[in-house]
Amino acid sequence: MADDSIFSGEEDIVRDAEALLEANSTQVPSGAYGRLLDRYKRLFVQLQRIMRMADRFQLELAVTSQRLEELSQIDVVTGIANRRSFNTAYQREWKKARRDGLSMAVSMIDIDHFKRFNDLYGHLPGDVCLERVAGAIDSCLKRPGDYVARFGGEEFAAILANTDTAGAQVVAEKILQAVASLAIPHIGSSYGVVTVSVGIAVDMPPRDDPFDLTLLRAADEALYEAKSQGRHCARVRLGPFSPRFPPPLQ
Amino acid sequence: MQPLILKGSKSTPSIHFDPASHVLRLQGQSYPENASKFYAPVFAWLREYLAQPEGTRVCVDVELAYFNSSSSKILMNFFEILEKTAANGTSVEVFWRYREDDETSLECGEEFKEDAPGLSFHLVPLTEE
Repeated sequence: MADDSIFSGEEDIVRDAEALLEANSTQVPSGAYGRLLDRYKRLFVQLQRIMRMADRFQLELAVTSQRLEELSQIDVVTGIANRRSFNTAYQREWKKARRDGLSMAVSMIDIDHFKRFNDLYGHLPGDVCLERVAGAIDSCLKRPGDYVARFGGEEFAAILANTDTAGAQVVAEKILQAVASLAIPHIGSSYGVVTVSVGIAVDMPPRDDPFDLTLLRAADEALYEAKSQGRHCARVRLGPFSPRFPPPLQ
Repeated sequence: MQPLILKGSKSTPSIHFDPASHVLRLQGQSYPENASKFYAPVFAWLREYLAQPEGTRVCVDVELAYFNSSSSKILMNFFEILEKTAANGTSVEVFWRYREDDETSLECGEEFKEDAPGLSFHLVPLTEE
């Protein structure tokens, strides 16, 4: 079966070398060591080639895997982070805020009358609209801890680390203006252009609190409030663990 | 002598060795779980085929986009056997086919070519249709 081994060449060399070592030096034919060495050298060069090829394939796989990892985090329509990426970021920031005893803000941003926009203008212009709005929101988030993702449909979610109510409201106001200034025509909206509504939730995760989605739910409630109060505006909810902040306004 | 025909799988290449036309073709990817075991019947066939005293022209056609280290060692052994055959007077032509934009496959072809100077070894780009 030795012939079937992929290392039959190497095994032969070892066997012949052992035979040489065991043989009486007078029995060793002249040039035997040299021939053995030549065979070894050939295999040594082969090994180097195999390593180079393996290194190339491994590099290629590593690059591909890295690229796929990046792609898996990006929303293909808007080019910003996707929902999967958001979930990871949300957990990370929540834990960080809890550890550092800092407040954290989450904003849910929804394009107003987007279904109507699609019906009026078509789905491809709808995609362009999503992409431009995503870009406008992104341009309002400048701090290192700021993060925005496409949450789903026409909804975006932003995370503002170490941010209180006032800070989150300033950012929301900027977002409202940035999107309106895109001046994307929307005859189905009373504003005549594409606008967004923003729901903000601010909370300070308590130290003993397990991770949950309270903040997201609160932001969603605030968003509904903004929607029901005329759209193109921002509303705030405070999460249940924010004792430092006053209770929500009526 | 019967041709050797193995249907390819995700991890093993399709093999079509035809003793009538003297074309030995290997195509696909090669990272079998046990490369020695997978290629044992291939080498057995090859040895039997090459033992036949025919002064023919053997054409070896290889198109492997991806292979693991064990498979590259096996290819080295494969080309070594062919080199010996060529040294004994049989004409052996190897065609290493690689996708035009696949630099890795090209460089692997170059490694095999340099390792087997006794073979007439051609690197042939496959242009995309």
